[in-house]
Amino acid sequence: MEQITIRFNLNGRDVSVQADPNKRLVDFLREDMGMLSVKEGCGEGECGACTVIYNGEAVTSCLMLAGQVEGGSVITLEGVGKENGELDEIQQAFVEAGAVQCGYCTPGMILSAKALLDRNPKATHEEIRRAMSGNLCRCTGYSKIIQAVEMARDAKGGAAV
Amino acid sequence: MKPETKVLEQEKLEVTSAVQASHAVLGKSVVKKDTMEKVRGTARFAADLEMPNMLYGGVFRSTITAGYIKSFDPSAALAIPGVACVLTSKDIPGKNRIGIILKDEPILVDDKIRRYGDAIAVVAAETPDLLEDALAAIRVEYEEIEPVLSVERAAQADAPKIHGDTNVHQSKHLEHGNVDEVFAKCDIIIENDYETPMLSHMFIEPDSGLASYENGIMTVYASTQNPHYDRGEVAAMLNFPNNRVSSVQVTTGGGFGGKLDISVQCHAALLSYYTNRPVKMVRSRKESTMVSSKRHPMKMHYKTGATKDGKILAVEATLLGDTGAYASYGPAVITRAAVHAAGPYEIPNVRVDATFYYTNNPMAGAFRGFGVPQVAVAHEGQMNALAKALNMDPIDIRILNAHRPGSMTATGQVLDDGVGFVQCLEAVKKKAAEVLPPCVPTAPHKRRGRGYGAMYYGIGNTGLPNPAGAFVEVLPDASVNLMVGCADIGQGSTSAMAQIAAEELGLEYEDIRVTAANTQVTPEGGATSASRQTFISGSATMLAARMAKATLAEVASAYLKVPVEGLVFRHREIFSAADPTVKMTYPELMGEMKRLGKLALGCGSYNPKTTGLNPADMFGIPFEVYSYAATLVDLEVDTETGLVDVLNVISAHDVGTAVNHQAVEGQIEGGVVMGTGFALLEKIETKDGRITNPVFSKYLLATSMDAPTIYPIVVESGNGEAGPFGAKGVGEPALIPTIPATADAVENALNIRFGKLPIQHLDIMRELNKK
Amino acid sequence: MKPFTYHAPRSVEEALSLLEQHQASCAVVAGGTDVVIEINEGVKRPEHVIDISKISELRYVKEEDGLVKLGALDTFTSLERHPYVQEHLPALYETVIHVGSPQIRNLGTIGGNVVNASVAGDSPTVFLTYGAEVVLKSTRGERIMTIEEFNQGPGNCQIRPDELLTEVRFPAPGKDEAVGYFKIGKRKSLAIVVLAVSVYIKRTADNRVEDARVILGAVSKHPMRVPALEEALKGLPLTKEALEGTLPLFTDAVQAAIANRPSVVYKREGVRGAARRCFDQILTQFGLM
Repeated sequence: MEQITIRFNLNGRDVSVQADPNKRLVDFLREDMGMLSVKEGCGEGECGACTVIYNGEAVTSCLMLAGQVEGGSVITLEGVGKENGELDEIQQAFVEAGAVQCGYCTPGMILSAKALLDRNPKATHEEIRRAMSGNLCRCTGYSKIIQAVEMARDAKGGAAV
Repeated sequence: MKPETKVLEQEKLEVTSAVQASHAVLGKSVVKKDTMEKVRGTARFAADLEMPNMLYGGVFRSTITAGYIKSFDPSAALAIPGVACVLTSKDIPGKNRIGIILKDEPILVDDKIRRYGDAIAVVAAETPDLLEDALAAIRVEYEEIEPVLSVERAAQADAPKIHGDTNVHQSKHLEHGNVDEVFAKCDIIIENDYETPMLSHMFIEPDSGLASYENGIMTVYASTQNPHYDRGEVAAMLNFPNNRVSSVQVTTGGGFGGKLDISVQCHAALLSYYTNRPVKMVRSRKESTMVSSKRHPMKMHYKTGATKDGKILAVEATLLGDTGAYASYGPAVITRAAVHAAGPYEIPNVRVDATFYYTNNPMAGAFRGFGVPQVAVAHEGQMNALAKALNMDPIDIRILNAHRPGSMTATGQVLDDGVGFVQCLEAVKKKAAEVLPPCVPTAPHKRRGRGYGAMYYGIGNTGLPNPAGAFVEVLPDASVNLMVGCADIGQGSTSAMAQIAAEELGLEYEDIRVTAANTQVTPEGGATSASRQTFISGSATMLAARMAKATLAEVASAYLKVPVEGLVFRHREIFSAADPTVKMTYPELMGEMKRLGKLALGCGSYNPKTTGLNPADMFGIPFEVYSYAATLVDLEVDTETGLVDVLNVISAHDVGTAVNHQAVEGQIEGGVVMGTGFALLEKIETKDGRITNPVFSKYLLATSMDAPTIYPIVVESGNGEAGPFGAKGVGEPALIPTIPATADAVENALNIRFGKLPIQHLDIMRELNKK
Repeated sequence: MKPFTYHAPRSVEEALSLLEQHQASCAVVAGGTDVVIEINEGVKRPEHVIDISKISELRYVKEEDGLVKLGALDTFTSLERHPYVQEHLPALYETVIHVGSPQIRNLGTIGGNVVNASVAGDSPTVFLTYGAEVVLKSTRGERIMTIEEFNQGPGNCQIRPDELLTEVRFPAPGKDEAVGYFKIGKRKSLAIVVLAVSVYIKRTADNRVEDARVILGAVSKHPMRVPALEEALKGLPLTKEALEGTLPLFTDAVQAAIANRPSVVYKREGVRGAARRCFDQILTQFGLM
């Protein structure tokens, strides 16, 4: 099997990697790129644990092939957070709201929230519920997660008045 | 003296109760110790582990439900370059039977196949792809026998026997008062059948682990709720003394009881033992759901007798359960179900007969609540039916019958002061008046309904010893190492232990570093189950801290010239209760300790004060403390589609003392959504013993759009002297009352009785169109 | 995952020549939401994977010569956000916003949805209602086929191994035409279609039904037209009462289609609720409600 070269932007850095083409994006990111925050929960796009941001949109990386990110940009949780090492507003809000329990869904949740707020900084409660609805959580009942995203929206100055 | 009960509501966090005010650290909504790494994505779960020279392990599983292996041929698999080994039961050096209570499950099948997916062989290979090839290359021939697929069939004399010479797994009889005599005198009798489904935990992280055998020591890293139990099973399998097995829990992505049984631990250890290489095993979602334990499906018949004023005089319950192919936690589930069958009510006459059968169905075991969610569906269904029949308010009738301090339970236990049930009921009523709109539907084709549920839940194992321990060392700079066996699976026990230790030592939460669930470092913690860790490991932690503090207090007493009893440890200071200006700082105290050559060490263990249960009638003290809860569910049913929209849920929980208020709310909210799923959506389907919906696309969990607005209410009954600072537990109670309340709300909206859960859109449309 | 050779053509032309070359053992990946799972689980074991997601010329929404033309690689999200869809194609909008989850909508394409032809697929139903055709291209040329001819059930759509579905198109609805769509799913997100009803109505100047199409989704192996209902609707005044008078016929249609399936017990009842909401949408679009 022939290796392919994948050039893409990962968490703000342009990279060029030789990789097996027969890998899903989730495997490529975890195994080749060391992005271990990307979690696999189901392998069928139904739980959202493997969510990453691809070209600005939240996608389940278990449904993509590695080669598909050629020329695009990918953000994983490793790429979220401020340059000085501090948490970004969404991470900080997850901390303050107590939105984390087992933590397995958390990376995907934060990335779904980021994809939403980046595109729609004034997202309403209902828009937030909808944007997070591809990420299953078995621990929290979603209540504090939705609350966290609202807090992050407000902290970023996007509160709908 | 009765402790005053406080009700803390979500939005009134700043209004601290007297309980909270007396604590420096306890009750605060601290940021849990593992939150930072989880929001940064640096928390490492089992599937994230890597070791040099690592192999990938997998399991060859049976594709029949019952029968024998006629031939097994791994030669084609072994011929693949890169396949390290294929091992069967013959390769197990020690014991080939595991099980938390009864050792009846083979690590690898050696006599017969009892369920679909039984483990026949384990394989290790250089890559996941080679592993897949190897598993596909193994050849096996089976001789199938009739699978036993229902408890009804299991009970028949001519049914094949799953284990030994009877399919009866266990039976229990509880007898309190004189049910027969009293029924004759009751003004009203309510008699109904209930049924609850087999359910799957559906933790988001599939079971995974890594075993590494090096220099005669087997180390197993796993996603688990009970590393100390894992250690024992791996050691027995390898014929090792316990101290040659290290069992380490890694960050665990949810459990809910489904990670109490052995998953990959023994298989990975066996492969590592033979290959002398680290072996990682990561289950797929499908494999995880297929073979991890399930919630016992139960059929229940209830007869309840009461006076015309609504006072329940007698309850008779028959419980029938399917434990599947192996016992797992079956004995715990049946015992707890029988003990709790009458609900949180003082009922002088109770009879319970419970029987669980072995079948060839998926193994049922522990799942958040150990049978109490099932019986709560029935005892609350009965309570709601009684309220309707007598035209009484559903809260008032519960208050009339409620456990109170001094009440006697069905096992003859007289409750002490820590009973906050009436307060839970009153809090729900009050909140409903404040926040709920009138109960009118939002569209003409919808009907709205409200329903009620309640529960009580004994904390810890039922009438059995279940100790936990803790070690504490206060370091020279007044930071602390706390070692506890207790596995944190996301609920926040590690942080609760830190708060308890900080409170006891008079230090801050940030001063405590916790090492948890590592058998080489931490003492026995027992299982993270039965909502027991805050109470039991928490008590052990408090006692360990107290022992270390005794040494510190002696030194401080001599230094400050204040008697030990007169010292207060608080906020990193030690001062005289009589004159707070007589004080020293913790660093000063540690300097003094150093000067005197003393170490501040402590160990503690705690075993709840219980008795065994009398086998004849189940009399005894099965639990030291009980948590209580009451829930109201407000929902709408679309009469044209049968779909249910859960709008609002109010859930009040007496937790004794909330160690971390926000974390308690988190437990309640998670329990509420799982509870609505239990009542409306979730169900494991099987065909010939094989699970047909082991994936998230077919086993549906509620999404963020399905979740209701939740009003969690924390009730603090103070709980007298039991537990760490009066704390009980909330993990399982969080789930339970929402289930019957949701069912009741649907029934009230439609004026149709279901009794059988889940109530899915199909059931609603079928019943609506029958009318 | 079994090894395969990966191709990422940048143009339709390039894709067609790859298809011609590797048609014996190849899989086409667009959004990947179904195919990648099948490849990963070994259900499909192609020697070649042709990833068409980079072919930007297949992403468009346009109205041309009275036809609405949708590029095969339009994702559900891109349609949801497209002003033309929002303004002129309310039933398509209603369809795409209820597909899967945000992540699935961001990846999944209408071309993939149509070719996959799942019983519980979302968009084939509404495309049939719009009277859509598909454009199939190969190095040998182009075929245009109605979606009804094309979709013969799961795994049995009439695409040849060397063909690529490049476009879905249908007559642009005029002001006297309206389409409704209602999906029943078991939950509010991540729900497959339990049952879908879609209705097209063309009205007369005096607000009567001139022409109608009625499609049921997830009651047959492919979206099913109900001619009896279409006839019954013709001539009816566009009032709630008159339209709802046909609801029992929806039940009859489901009963006849799946009489022996356990799901009939639900679907024959649920279909009336879904149909009623389609009628409400249509009346709203006509400004009659």
